[in-house]
Amino acid sequence: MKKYFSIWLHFAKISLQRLFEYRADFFLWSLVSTGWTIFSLLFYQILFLQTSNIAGWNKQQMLVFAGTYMIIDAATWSIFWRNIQNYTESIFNGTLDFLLLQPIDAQFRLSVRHISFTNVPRLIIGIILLALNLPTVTLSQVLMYIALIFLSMGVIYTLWFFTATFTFWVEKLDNIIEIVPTLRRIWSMPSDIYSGFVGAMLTIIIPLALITTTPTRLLLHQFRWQELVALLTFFIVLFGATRAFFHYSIKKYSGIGS
Amino acid sequence: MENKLLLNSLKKYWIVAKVSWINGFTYLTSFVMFRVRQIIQVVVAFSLWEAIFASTITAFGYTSAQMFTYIFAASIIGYVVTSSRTIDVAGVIHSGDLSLYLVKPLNFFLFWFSRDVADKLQNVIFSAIELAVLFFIFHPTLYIPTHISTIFLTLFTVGGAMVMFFLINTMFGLLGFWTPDVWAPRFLFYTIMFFTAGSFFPLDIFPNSIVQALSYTPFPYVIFFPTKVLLEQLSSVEVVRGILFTGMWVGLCGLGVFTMWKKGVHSYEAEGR
Amino acid sequence: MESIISVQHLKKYYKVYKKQPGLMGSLKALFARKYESVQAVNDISFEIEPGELVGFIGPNGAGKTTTLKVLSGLLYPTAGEISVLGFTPWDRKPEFQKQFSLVMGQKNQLWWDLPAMETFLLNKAIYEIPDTQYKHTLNKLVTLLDVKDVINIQVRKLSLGQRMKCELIAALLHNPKVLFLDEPTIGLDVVMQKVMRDFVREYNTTFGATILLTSHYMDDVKELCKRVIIIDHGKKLFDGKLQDIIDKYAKNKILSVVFSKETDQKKLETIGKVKSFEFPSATILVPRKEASRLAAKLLEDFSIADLNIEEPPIEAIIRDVFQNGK
Repeated sequence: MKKYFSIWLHFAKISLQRLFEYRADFFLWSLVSTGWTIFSLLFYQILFLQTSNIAGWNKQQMLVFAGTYMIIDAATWSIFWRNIQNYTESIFNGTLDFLLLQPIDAQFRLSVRHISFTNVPRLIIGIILLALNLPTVTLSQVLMYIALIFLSMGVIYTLWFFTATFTFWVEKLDNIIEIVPTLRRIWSMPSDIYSGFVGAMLTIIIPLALITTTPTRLLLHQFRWQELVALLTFFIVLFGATRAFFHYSIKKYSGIGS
Repeated sequence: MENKLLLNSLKKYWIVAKVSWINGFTYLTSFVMFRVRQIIQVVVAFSLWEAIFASTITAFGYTSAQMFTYIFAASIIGYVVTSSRTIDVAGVIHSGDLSLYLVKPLNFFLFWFSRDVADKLQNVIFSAIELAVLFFIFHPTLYIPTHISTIFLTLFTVGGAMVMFFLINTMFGLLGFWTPDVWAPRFLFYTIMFFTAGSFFPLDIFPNSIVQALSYTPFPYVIFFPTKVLLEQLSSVEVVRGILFTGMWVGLCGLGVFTMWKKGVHSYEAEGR
Repeated sequence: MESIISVQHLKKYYKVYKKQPGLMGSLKALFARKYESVQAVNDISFEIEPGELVGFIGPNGAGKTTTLKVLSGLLYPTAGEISVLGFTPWDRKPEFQKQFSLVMGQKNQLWWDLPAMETFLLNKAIYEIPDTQYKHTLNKLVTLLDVKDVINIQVRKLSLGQRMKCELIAALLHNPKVLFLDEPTIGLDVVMQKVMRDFVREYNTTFGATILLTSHYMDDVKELCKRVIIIDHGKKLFDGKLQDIIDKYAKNKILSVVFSKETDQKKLETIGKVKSFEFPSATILVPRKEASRLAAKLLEDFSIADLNIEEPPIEAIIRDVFQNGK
C-alpha cells in the first residue's frame, strides 16, 4: 500500500513540474474552467429569480450543492481525465504493452500517471461557495462529508474506467469516454428533480443522480442513509465488474497481440 | 444540353453525400454512444424544467408547454444546424491532403457541404426517434404552432442558420492554412455557443440587456431564433430583424470564407506530411 | 510532335516560416513570423512528348516534388511558362483536371473505413466517367493488379500492398493522359517496389499515358525510364538517355579480378585504386579510357584466374554528377 502511495506521489510531482513548463496552456485552460464555473453560477442565480425553490431546494441549499458539485468535478477531472484518455489511446498505439510489463497493478498504473491542475481555480471556488453558504456543521460531519466525496469520486472514476475498457472491443479509437463527461449533467442537479421511471433508474438502480446529492445532504443535515447504501453498493459492484472486465480484456488483447 | 451538363456536374455531390452517409454508420459503437449522450442531455433538461414548473406556472415568460416544446424543438434544430463534418477541414489542410482535393474537378466547399448534409440527416432521423421515446416517458404537453406559415418560416430560418453555421465552421477550418492549432479558437467559439445559442435553455432567461447584446452576434441565430419562430413567440418585426441579421452574418462569413480561401490557397505550399 | 508538357524557365521560390513550439508559439505565429526564402526551383526547362516515361531524379530537397506540384496546378510558379495538355495548370480548370492524375507516395485518397469500391464509385462521379468506360477501365486495372477479392473489403483491413494497389486504381479510373507519380515506391518493401515498377511500365505501354515520376531511388529510374532528368538544388543537371549519363559522366570503370596466386595489395595499387581486396577477389577502380590497357597490364603482371571489366553502379555515377553540379 505504501509503495503505491509513494508512486502516486512521484507521479504527482512530475505532473507539477510539467505544469511549469507549459504555463500558457495552464493559464488558458484554468481561465476556461473558471469561466465555465462562473457561468453555471450565473445560471443558478437566474433560475432563482423566477422561482423560490427547485424540487424543494432553496437558493442557499443549491449553492451548497453547487459547491459540492464543483469540488467533486474539479477533483475527478484533475486526477483522472488525462489518464483515461491516455489509457484508451495506449490500446491502439501500442504503449499499453509497455505498461503491462511493469511490476505494479496495471489498472493503478493507467489511472494515476498524470495530474492536471487547470481545475484548481474551480476547486477553490467550490470550497469558497461551501464556506459562504454552509449551515453550522461539526467536525465529524465535515470528515464524513470528505469521505462521501471520495466515494462519489470513486464512483465516477470506476464508471470512467469501465466505459474506457470497452475500447479493447471496438475496431477504432473513438470517443467512448466522452460519455462520462456528458453523464455529469445527471448529477449536476439535485436528485429530487428526477421523478417517476427516470427517477427510480437514476437513484436506485444506477444511482448516478446521488453522486452530488448525498454528500450535500449530509452538510444540510438531511442525510439519508438509504442513499449511502445505494451509492456504496453500486460502487462495490461496479468496481468489481470493472476489474473483472479489465482483466478479461487484457487477456483477449494479449492473446491476439497488437 | 447546358442543363444536362450542370446536372451531371452536380450529381457528384449527391454521391459524396451518399458515401458520407454510409461512412457515418461504419462505427456503430461510437454512433450509439453519441446518441446516448444526446438523450441524457434532453432527459436532464426536461427533468430540471419539470421540477421548476412544479412550483411555478410560468417562468421567464414561458408556460411549461412552451418550455418543453422549446427543449424538444431546440434539440432537433440543434442537430440540423450544428452537426457537421467540416471540423475535418483544418486537418485536411494542415496534413497536406488538401492537394488531393485540389487536383480533382471538385468544388471543395460543395464537397464538405454535401458531407454535412448527410451528417445532419443522420442526426435528425435518429434524434426524431429518440425524442419520440422521450415523449412517451415524459408525456409533456407541447405547444403546437397555430399557423401553417409558421412551419415554412421555421424551415426558412433553419435553412439560414444551417448556411451561416456552415460558413462559420468553414472559416475555422480554413484557419488550418495559417496555424496547425485550430482547436483553440474553435473551442472558444463552441464554448460561447453552448451558452448562447439556446440549446439547453432559451436565451431569454437572461436579462434583456444581455439578450439584446447577443442579438448582434451570430450565436442566437443558430438555434434560439429559429426555435422562437416555431413557438410563434416573436412579433413580425422581430422575425424580420432576425432574418436580416442572419442574412448579414451569412454575407459576412461568406466573404470571410471567400477571402480566406483565396489567400490560403495562394500561399498553400502543398507541403505537410 | 507537339509536346504534351512544356516547361520554360520555371522558377519557384518559397518563404519558409519559423514557428516556436507550444501554445505561445502558435499565438505569436499569428502576429509576427520569421521566414527565410528558399529557391526550390531555379530556372528549369524541358519538353515531354506524349507517351514518354520520364524520371526526375535528385536528392531530397532538389526541387522534384515542387516541379511536379507546379505541373499539377498545386503551386503557382514564381516565374516561367508552363503548359500541360495545352492548359495552364494553376488555373485548375475541370477539363484539365479530368485528363491527368497525381499520385503521391504517402498520401491516401481512399476512404479509410469503407471498401475501396466506394471510393472508386465516388471518383467515377467526380470525374464524370460514363458507365461503360468505367466498367471497362475498372476491370482492366483490377485484373492487371490482381485485386478482385480485395476491393470490397474495408480499406483499413488491407495490407499496405493491397492498399497501394487500390490507391493506384482510384487514381487511374478516369484514364488520365498524363500521370504524375511523386515518390511512388517510398516506404514500400522490395517486393512491392517491383510490383509498382512493373505496373507503371505496363500502364505506360497498355494505356499509352505520359508518365512523369520523381524518385530518389536509383532503381526506380533504372528499371523504368529511358529518359532521365537529373535535378539538384533547383537546377537541371542532365536531361537525356540513361545510357548517355553513364557514357558522359562515368569517369571510371571497375576491374574485378580473381587471383590464382597470393598477391601483394601494394603492388596492386600501381594499377589503380583498390576498392576491395579479399583474397582471392579484388576490385580496382581505373579511369575509363585506360580500362583496356590496364586490364592487359593486370594480366601480364599478375596471376589472374578471372577478370571482368564493369560499369560502376549508376548510383555512384549520379553521385558524381551531383558533386560536380554544385
